[in-house]
Amino acid sequence: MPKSVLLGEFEQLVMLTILELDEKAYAINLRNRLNEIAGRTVSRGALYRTLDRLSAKGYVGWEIETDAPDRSGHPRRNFYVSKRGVEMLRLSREKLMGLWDGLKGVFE
Amino acid sequence: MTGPSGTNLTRPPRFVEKMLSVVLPPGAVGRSMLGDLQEEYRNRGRSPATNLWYTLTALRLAGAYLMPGLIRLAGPLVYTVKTTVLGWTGDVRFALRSLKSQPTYLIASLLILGVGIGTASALFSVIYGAVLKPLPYPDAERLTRFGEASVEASAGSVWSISPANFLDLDEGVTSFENLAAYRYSRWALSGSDGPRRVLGMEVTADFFSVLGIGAETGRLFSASDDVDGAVPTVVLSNELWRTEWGGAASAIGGEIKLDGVTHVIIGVASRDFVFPATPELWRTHRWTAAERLERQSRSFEGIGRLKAGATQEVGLSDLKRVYGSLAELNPETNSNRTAGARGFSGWLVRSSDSTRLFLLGGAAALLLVIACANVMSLGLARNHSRNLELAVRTALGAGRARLARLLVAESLVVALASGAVGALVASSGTSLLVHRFGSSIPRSQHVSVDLVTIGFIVGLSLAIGVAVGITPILGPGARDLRKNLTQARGGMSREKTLLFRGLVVVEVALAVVLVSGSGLLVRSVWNLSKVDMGVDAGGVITFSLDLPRERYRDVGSFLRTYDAIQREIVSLPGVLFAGAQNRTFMQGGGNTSFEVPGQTSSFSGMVETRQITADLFEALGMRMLLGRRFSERDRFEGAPVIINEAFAVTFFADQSPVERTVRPGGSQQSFSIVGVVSDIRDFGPEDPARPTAYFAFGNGPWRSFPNLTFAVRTQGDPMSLIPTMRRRVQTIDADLPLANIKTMETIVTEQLGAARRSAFFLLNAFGLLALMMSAAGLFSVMSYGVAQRTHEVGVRMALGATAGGILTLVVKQGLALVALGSVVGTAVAIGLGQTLRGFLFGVSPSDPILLVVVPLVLFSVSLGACYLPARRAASIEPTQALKHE
Repeated sequence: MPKSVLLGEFEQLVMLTILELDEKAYAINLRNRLNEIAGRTVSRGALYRTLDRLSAKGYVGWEIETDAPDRSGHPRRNFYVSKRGVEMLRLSREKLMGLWDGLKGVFE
Repeated sequence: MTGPSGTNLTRPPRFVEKMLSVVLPPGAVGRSMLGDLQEEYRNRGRSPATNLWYTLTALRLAGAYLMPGLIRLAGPLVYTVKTTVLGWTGDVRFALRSLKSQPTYLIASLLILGVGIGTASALFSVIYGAVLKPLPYPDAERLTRFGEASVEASAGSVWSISPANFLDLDEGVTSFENLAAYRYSRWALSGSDGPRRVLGMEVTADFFSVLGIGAETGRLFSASDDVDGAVPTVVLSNELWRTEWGGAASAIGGEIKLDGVTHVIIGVASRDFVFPATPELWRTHRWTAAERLERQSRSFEGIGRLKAGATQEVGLSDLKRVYGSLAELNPETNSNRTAGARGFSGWLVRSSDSTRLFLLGGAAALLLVIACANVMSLGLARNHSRNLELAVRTALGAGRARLARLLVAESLVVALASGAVGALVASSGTSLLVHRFGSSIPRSQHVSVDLVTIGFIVGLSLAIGVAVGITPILGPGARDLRKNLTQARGGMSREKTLLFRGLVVVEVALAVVLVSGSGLLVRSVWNLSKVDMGVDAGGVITFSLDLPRERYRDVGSFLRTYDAIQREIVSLPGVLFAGAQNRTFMQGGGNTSFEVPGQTSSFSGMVETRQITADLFEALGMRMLLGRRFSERDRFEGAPVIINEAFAVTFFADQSPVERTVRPGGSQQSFSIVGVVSDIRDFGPEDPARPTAYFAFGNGPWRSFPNLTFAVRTQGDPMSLIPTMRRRVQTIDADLPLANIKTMETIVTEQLGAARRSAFFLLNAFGLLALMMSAAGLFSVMSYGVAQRTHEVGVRMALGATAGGILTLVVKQGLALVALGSVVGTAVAIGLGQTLRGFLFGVSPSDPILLVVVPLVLFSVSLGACYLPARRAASIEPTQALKHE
């Protein structure tokens, strides 16, 4: 069982976008999609640092693709969400939903 | 687009990518990030904008990875800086409060130091821009200015070169990458509001590639531009492009007319172009068949780029080697001649120019030292009156370092504020210097108060702030600061008094040096203005009139128009004589060698040649010494020539030259001397008149029909006749402008030389400022001394001293300091006067009159500065004085 209680907002966005993009989840696509969802320009630095953090926690992993076009031989990292990551997302969702449900009176 | 090895050619800037890879995580993670950026770069398409985007993105990404580590590392450093800054902030705040309470001290210091720093910085900006700033050309040390030279000419002499000799050198040299020839020309540039004269440069196609500069926009010349039959092309200067075309890219490909010939604009030169005179445009010169054989007429200049590794010496010996073989093949034109060359930067900034600028910089530095000494003595007096405060601080535990920081903070505030005042002075001073003396400042178009000058001002202010602040702590008189409370109200210590007086002596000595320098120049200019230039300048106006070649192709109409103009001008009321010659007055002009058939002359130099109209000598006030003047018939008949006295003396010594025959070099025609006219000093008052031959206009040795410059002798104010003359000229040709309108008196004044005038102006200004500053310094020191000695004066008066006695006592003490300063200053001035030798005329650096006059001036100014404090001392009431303190 992961020990942290909740994922951060941006972490959730990143992981959900990876799941949405599935096989096309590499940094450029991720950032483009996040820009659409967040309605603002996500900095490359923030995205890479978040991906580093998520992978250090074991929520996100990647596969290397060496022959991707237009990259002058540089590899491409295609991201996926690990089982632990999916579990963590589910947990965060439940916690948040529980909180939302308890406050129905405020919003209705 | 794929490269030979299969890699993609659209790659981001390598250097930036390399730097970024150092910062990013190692291995596949970092490389994948580079790949992401590479992919985006590719999608955007390669362009300068994309390169900029890539660089900025890489910087941001690097920042994201570097920042956390930096913050961790910088923590302790930030803490130290913060505590120090906070300490200094407190001291600065205290200094501001304390200075606010004594605005007179603050204002006096700001003015004195501001002027000192400003003057020194203005001179620095000129010296930096003109001499020290690296040339904008890549590997500028490989650029060589070359040409021909006499075998007897001193090393570094570079004369003009003939087309055929240039082409042969270009063919034969091996140590140069490429050579180019150029010459300045003036053309009529047609525009919507009539034609105007522009300064241009005719160059061979390699000119810009020799310099190694690129185009601002469009392209520069290539080999296709100077082949026969190609459309004539021009490159615009940046300034012309901006003023006439508003910097529009659409100018490229457009057409302009130069002397009526259509040229296509192919590009705009980089604004970095640096040459002694910046032309407004360039066009390629195409060698004609005749020019390819021409070795006699030397009208081009040469510039070359040495191959990597070749030195200037190697280049010169290579040029000389090739020229040597040319001299053997063409002895009639190239004998006694060789190639001359020197480094481009040394040619651009002549050593006399840099010596003069450094000399003026040195004078400004002396002025700054006077200003510093002045402010230091003001500060010393101020600190002394704060002894009690400093003693209390010491008693409460402030160490020497703490007191030093307090005083240094205060003087830093004063110095930096003075630096701000100085920056304003420097900015207007630099503009003034460039505006008034730009012609004598090399590369003046690149002289400005730039970041380097601002850095200089800040550095200078900081150094002065620290030096002025720390001297009382480290220097003599430091003991005063550590006096105990009981002593704090006493008079000055002996050491401090000595320092105080020493500063006055230094100020006076330096003022003597500067005033002597300006005195020497005043005397030189006075002597020069007394030299007889050979013309009677009063009432003479000059202007040039260029008949456009496109409308005056026919020689007959060309000559008739000039005749008509001259007749119109002479017929004006108030005009006594009007004459013209083919050169601007007092600027030299064409020259050639001369020989007297049947006589061998030891003179191997050049003779100045002019074509003139009949009444020129009368218009200029020159006297016929022998023979006759030109008549109208001389324009068309025979081959007459009039020579000047210098020619007669040089070639004929004591024989009569009239009716003798002479032959200009390179001409088959001989000329018969019909008269001898008095000399004029065409090259300034210092150069003796050169041998000169005057030919009748249109009947010279080369059958050329040049444009003319007129001299008109009038009764009364010559400028008032200009509008009438203009109208009369325009009745003959409505499109003819009178250009370069100047009185002969102005031209003669200009002959004093811009270089000397700038030195004259600046040294006089510095001398005056030095005089004022040293007087102010003396005044403040004497005033302070009198205030300190109130008690002593009271005692003296109580014991019977008279007011007159006290006055004499104080004045004598002040003048003793001035006397000492004058002696030291005079000795230094005699030594330094030698450096001014190049600017002096008819006066010795150790001129006895100046050695007496300058100290006398200092004495009389100082007497005034001492008198006021002395009178205050003499008017002290003994009873009040004894109660003092």
